[in-house]
Amino acid sequence: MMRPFSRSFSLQRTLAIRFSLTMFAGLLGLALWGYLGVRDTLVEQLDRSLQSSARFHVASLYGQRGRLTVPAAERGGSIEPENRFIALRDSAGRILRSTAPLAAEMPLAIHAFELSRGGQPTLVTQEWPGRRVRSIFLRVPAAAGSEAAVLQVGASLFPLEKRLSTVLLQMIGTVVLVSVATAIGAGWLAASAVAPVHRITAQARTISGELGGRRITAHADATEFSGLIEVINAMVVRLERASEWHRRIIRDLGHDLRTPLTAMRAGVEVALWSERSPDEYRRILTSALDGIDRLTLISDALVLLARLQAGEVKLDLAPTDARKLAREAVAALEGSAEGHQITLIESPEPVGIRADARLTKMVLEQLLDNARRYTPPGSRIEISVQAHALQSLIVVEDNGSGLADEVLPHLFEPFYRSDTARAREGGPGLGLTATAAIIALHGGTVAAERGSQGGLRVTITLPRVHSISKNATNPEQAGRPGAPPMFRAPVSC
Amino acid sequence: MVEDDAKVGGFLEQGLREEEFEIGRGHDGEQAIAMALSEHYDLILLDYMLPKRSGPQVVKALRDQGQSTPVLMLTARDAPEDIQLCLASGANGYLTKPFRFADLLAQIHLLTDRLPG
Repeated sequence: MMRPFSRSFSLQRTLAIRFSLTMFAGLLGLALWGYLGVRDTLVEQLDRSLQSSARFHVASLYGQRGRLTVPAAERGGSIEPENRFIALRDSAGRILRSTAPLAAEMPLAIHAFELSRGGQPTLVTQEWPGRRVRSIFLRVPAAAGSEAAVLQVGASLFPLEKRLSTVLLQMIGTVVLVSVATAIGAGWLAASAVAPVHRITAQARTISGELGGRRITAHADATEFSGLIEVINAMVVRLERASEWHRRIIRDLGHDLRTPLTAMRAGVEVALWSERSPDEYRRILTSALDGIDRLTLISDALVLLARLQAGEVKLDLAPTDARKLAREAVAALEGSAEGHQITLIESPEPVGIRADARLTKMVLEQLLDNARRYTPPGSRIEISVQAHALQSLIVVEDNGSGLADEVLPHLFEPFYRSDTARAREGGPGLGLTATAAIIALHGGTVAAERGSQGGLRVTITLPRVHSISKNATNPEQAGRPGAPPMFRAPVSC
Repeated sequence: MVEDDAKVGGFLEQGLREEEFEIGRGHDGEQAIAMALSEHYDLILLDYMLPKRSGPQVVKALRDQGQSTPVLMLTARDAPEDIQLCLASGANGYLTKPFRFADLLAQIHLLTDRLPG
């Protein structure tokens, strides 16, 4: 079952939003990665700086015999000299000397202190209310007369965090700005991507349905649209042909309905024009009855044709001997043969087809009846049934004057009647159309050509079936002998 | 009168003869041209869809040969393009099938300047 459209949505908007969100997420990730990278780098730099500073001061201790001094470079030339402190601790962790009162305020990082005493320089971050400090603890080699055991060099993390905050703000600002620019660009991109669809739609709206009318040409050279446009144009051609076909059917149908109506009206009006003899009234009424029959024939044929084309006719398929159907069709026509010689030429072996016996027999009757109608009395009509390896053939041929070569391709079109057919009273011109449709439903083909005797030859080709039940070859049991002629019978499909 | 449908032609001929018209009958387009060129008629009643040559083709052939006998086309096709084709070929009038016999008489009188009765 088709799902109804829940809600219409804009592809352009969807594309723009999705692209913008994707870009935003990407930028955010990139900014986060950048921020973390900058933070790690700054911390690493600080650590290296603390390490080198600590080593420098430890080396200085030797030179000054345990006297602790702060080098000039640390005081003035560096980035923030006041941010750095140095403390010399004894083996108990007590401060012997320090360059800033902060050293005395901060608690001792005991674990780092102990590790450094064991000879492992240790970096640690300490937090206490209002401050965060990064320190390195480095063991001081023992020296005579000196209590110094560990050198601590520390630095406040406040400048680093302040710098990181600035970087973070800059990155967020960049992400927001780039996201806004991306959203604008995505909107423009999406509009550009969807614009061809609008142009194709606008052209499609101008297609009128007239045969040979306009086609979609916009963006037909674009790889992404050429396939779609090709499919739409092909569909338009099919619709135009179907539309033209229906117009022609309606026009021809109008003609075929009006002709018997004209005859009936003229007959009745002439009858009423003046007093007639009973025989003349009878003749006119008989003619009117013929007109009614003709109109009935047309309506029945139309109903059958419509049902065939709509696929509403269900075939009652069974393996059947085509010879039996041909015999029955010939028998049905014998009463109205007008001196025609109808000959049945049968294959000696069964000619198996898988067919709806009733419909196939109607087809054969129609072909024989056509041959009878359109050839002079006394003409020969042959129906031959042949079996080939894979196919079964039923050929109906007469020795009449035949049809012009240019007529033959149109013979199975609805309402088509050649001049020859038009010159004589015939059916509504739907018989051969229905014939072709019925045979096509059986998976077969029907073709018309000039016969060997100059008349018309119609060949039905059906897939051959090799296994046929006995009943299927028995003309008494299978099928319904004497079924009413084509289109007069109600079709119970 | 050229009409390929035997019943239509038969009844019209009978009705017109009873109205004291003299009628020659043809059944296809080529017959129509031969008849019109070989004899004098006051009016040609011509079916539109005829074997061999259609009604408009017949009228055009006649007009091309200087034949000016009035032509009343009888047609089962009433699409504007069919009517236009009818008149453009040189026909003097048309009647759409099925028509009233009285309308046919009126058109005949109009085109032949003959008063009824």
